[in-house]
Amino acid sequence: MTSKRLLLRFGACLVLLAGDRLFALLAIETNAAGALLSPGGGVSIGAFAIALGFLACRLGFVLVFCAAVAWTAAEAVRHAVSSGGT
Amino acid sequence: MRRALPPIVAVVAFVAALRALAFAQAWPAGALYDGDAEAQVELARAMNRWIDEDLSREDFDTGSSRFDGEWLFATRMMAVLGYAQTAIEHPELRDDHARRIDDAIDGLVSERGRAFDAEAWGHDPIDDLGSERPHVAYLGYLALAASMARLVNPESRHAGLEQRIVEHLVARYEASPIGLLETYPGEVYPIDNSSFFGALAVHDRATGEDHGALVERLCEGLRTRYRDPRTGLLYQAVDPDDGGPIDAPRGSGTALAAYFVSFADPFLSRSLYESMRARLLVRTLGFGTTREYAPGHDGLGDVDSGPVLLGQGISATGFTLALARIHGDRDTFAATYATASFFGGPVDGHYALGGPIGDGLLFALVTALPAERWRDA
Repeated sequence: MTSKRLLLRFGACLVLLAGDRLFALLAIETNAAGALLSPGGGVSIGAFAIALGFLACRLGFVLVFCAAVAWTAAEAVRHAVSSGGT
Repeated sequence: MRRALPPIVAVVAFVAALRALAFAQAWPAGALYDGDAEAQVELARAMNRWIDEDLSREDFDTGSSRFDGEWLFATRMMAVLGYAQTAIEHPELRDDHARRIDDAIDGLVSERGRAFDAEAWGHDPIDDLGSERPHVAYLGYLALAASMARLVNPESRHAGLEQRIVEHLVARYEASPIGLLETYPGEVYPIDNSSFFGALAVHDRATGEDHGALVERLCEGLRTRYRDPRTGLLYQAVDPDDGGPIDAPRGSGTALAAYFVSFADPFLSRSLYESMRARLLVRTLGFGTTREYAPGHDGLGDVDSGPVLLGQGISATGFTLALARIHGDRDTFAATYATASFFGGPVDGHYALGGPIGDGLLFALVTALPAERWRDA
């Protein structure tokens, strides 16, 4: 059960990383880059969506990865404490 | 106590994981900071794509035709700086990069490349050489690119034009009562002028001419007249009649100016960077950012600063990379690179969220030469 949870957490990280890479390549190929840098807002919706997709995957990866590490570490300590107490 | 332990460990692990990610993002910064040829060539190769491609204003989406033209121009102009700096650092790249530089300048001097300035002034900037119109938005920056071309390759096909631009702007600065010239009619920005101060010093190195007294006078003006006495930062915009400040002292203008004047006056550049370090540089869990405004000032993002998020300026943060390398600040370079890399998304030398202008800027900024290298250039 624990290893299944671990797999799920870090599998989600891998999916987000793959999405991150996909959006990055798409942004470069379609020149959607710079969409979030434009001060006047004259950007196409497609470019904006690609740039946002990239950022969402990247920030999502950070959040999920850090949460997975924290959760896993907390579970390990909880397990160690309960085993030590019995 | 035992029940409190897991949540405490979770928080510590979360922060540690975040710091580890920052460390991973900063990892490539070491090679760039040390001037590793392979790392620099990867950026140059990515830039080649934009130089070879027939870019136009339509490839940029700022929402303003003038700003689209500025970004098209800045892409090629910063590429020239990147090619020149890497050629100076790695002489084996000199022949290839000299060709690339001349190609990039072909784009800068094309009708399409100078249209944004011609439209603003109502006169073509090249046809206007020798007139009273300074065209600093175009000619100040073109002078810097062309003088770099001449420094890398004295036989550059743009050497003649560079000479004419320098003579035109020297005459205009000699006549200027405030030591600055107009970017566009009625608009004066210290940052744009600093590009020519750097250009003049590079020109002297390339040609053996001596404009030292003028360079010193112009830099002295920046040092004493256009820095906010409280923060030490440069005013972003000043009044064309009396040189009085009409905009706040800001990070983006100060940082880019400190980069450009490093070619002319490394002590002034260092002093500006120290002011930034004291007022603007922020470090959060291994990620470095730079504020656009010093405490006590506030404002929104514009075409100079890029978006300003929670007070942190995107342009100012990027420009800090150059200053950190120029002034030997390895830690700041690594932390700032971690941020640029995280939000920029580097892939094979390109930056996913940068586009042509982001690639051009980062190519120039991360290859900026340490101040002492200019003595041997």
